[in-house]
Amino acid sequence: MPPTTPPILIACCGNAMAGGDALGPAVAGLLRQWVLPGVQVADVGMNPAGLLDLLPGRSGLIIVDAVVDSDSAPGTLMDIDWLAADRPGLAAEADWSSHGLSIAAQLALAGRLEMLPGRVRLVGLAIDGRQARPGSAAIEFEQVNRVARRAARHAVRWLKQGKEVCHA
Amino acid sequence: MNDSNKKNRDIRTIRVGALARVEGEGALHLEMRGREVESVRLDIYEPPRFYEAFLRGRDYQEVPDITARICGICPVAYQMGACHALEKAMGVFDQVDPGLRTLRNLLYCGEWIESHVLHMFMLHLPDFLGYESAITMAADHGDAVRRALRIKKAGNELVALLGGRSVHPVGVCVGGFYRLPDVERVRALSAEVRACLEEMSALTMFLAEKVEYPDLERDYEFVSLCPDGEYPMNLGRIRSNKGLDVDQEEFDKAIEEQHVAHSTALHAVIRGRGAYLVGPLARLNLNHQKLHPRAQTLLGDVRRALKRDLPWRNNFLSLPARGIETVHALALAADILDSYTPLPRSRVPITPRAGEGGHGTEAPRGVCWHRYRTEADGTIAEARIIPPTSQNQTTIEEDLRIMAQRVADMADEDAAMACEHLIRNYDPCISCSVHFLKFKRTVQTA
Repeated sequence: MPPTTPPILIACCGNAMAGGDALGPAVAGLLRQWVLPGVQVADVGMNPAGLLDLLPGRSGLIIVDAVVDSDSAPGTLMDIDWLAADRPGLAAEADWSSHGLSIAAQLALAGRLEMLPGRVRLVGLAIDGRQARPGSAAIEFEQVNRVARRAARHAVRWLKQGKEVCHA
Repeated sequence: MNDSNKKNRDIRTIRVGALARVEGEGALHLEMRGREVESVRLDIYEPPRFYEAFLRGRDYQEVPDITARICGICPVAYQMGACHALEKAMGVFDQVDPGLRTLRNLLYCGEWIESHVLHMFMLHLPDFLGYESAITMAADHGDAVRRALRIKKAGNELVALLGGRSVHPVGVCVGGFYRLPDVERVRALSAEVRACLEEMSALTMFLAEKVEYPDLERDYEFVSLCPDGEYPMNLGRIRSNKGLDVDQEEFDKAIEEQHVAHSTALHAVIRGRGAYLVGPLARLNLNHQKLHPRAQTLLGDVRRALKRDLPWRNNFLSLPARGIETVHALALAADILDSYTPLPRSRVPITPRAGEGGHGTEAPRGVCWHRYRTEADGTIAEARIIPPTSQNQTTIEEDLRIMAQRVADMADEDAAMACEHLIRNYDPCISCSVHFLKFKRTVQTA
């Protein structure tokens, strides 16, 4: 982590080798080309519990990930306030293994440890479950760009709203 | 996720449809007649991943990067097994500089630290303390979880130092490393690793003093690497407490892998003898005299607190064994970091040749053994990988047979939980054992 922790973290999750699940790493690659002061872009890939390492000192967190949602057509932009009381539940919330605590499990643990930033959003793209396999079609640039812009927009808005916590 | 039914008045079936807090997809099936166990099956139903098959035809230099993908938490074990075995095949095994071997140990320290800590404090300790998960445990033991996360992060940073990144590292090559770390970056890690050493020593004493361990003593055959003069990681003959003593190259002749109908992973047994146990308890029992002095001292305190002398024959004690090994890894890593000076070369030059080599190293879960045969141009002609979880499966089922009798009077849910707890003693990596890549990062909405 840099010496001064940027207040906003955009944590991009997924497997660069797995078709639609490559959304997170692709968004991270794009966002790193943009100038976003006060924002750290992290490709957490498939690091088990890697997100927890990055949370201390943040005021805002944006998770970028592919979303398998039977109610949404593939390609639908997902933008969810993680801390909202009416947030939809996730099928894999309780997923714990030595190789990957689910994002939801990590956020729940962070909340219990009082490490969770005050603002948390999930920004992603609905994909068909079959798209998250090696050899399936790579994610398209237009889709990556759309998710990246949405994530960046939240980050910039948060920074404007809370300049008192921006030290970057 | 368990259910029960009465096939008839006498038969009771306990089924855990999907094991929680282990890696991969497995299920437990117990069938009992009264207090007698009719059958125990650790069903592993993940499809095979065919790594050995698709390594064939690839260049030997690709193997460390490909095998690293077998596992997200112990990629170093697969890389180290591959590198050592291929160095034997290429005839350069004895030419690897001592300094490079030391850095390989440093890399392995990082993996042990991150893997052990994740398992101990996120997955296994909640069982002992009666919590559903680390989330609920954190409400009462938040400080311990915070300290554990700090230590795990230090382990990740050690792997990234030499591997370029902490998951599926890319800095390892046959013969050494693609590049060596800068002295400044190495030194910068030292203070944090030493601080984590203090934290882990305290946490290990917490495990010894505050945790109650179920009593399940068995006369296991413990198998691990047993090098002269150092705690096992990368080198050493493979020995057991019951007379196994083989050169690395001979290990696959000493054991036998068997297909069983209910598992897509092979079950390994010692030829003519049967099941054996690999992992932290085996390493500790066979090599405790070679622990880092800091871990040796702690082991004495832990033994007094537990009131148990070595050898420990109860695999529930794998929890404090992991704690001691993590202290060993942190102390060793700190020493290596402090004494690091630039090495004259990052890797041994290799001229491809036809050859064959077998070698195992100590993954966090136990011996992970590889054999490769190469063509004259360095192409892989044959590959064989024996991961630790497949070696422990028969032993897990034997443990379960005893546990099933002990929980005969419990309600199904409690009995299933006790059995799951026992399985987690082994920190099983089911995906590694069947070689099937799972994609868990996709978030699924309801």
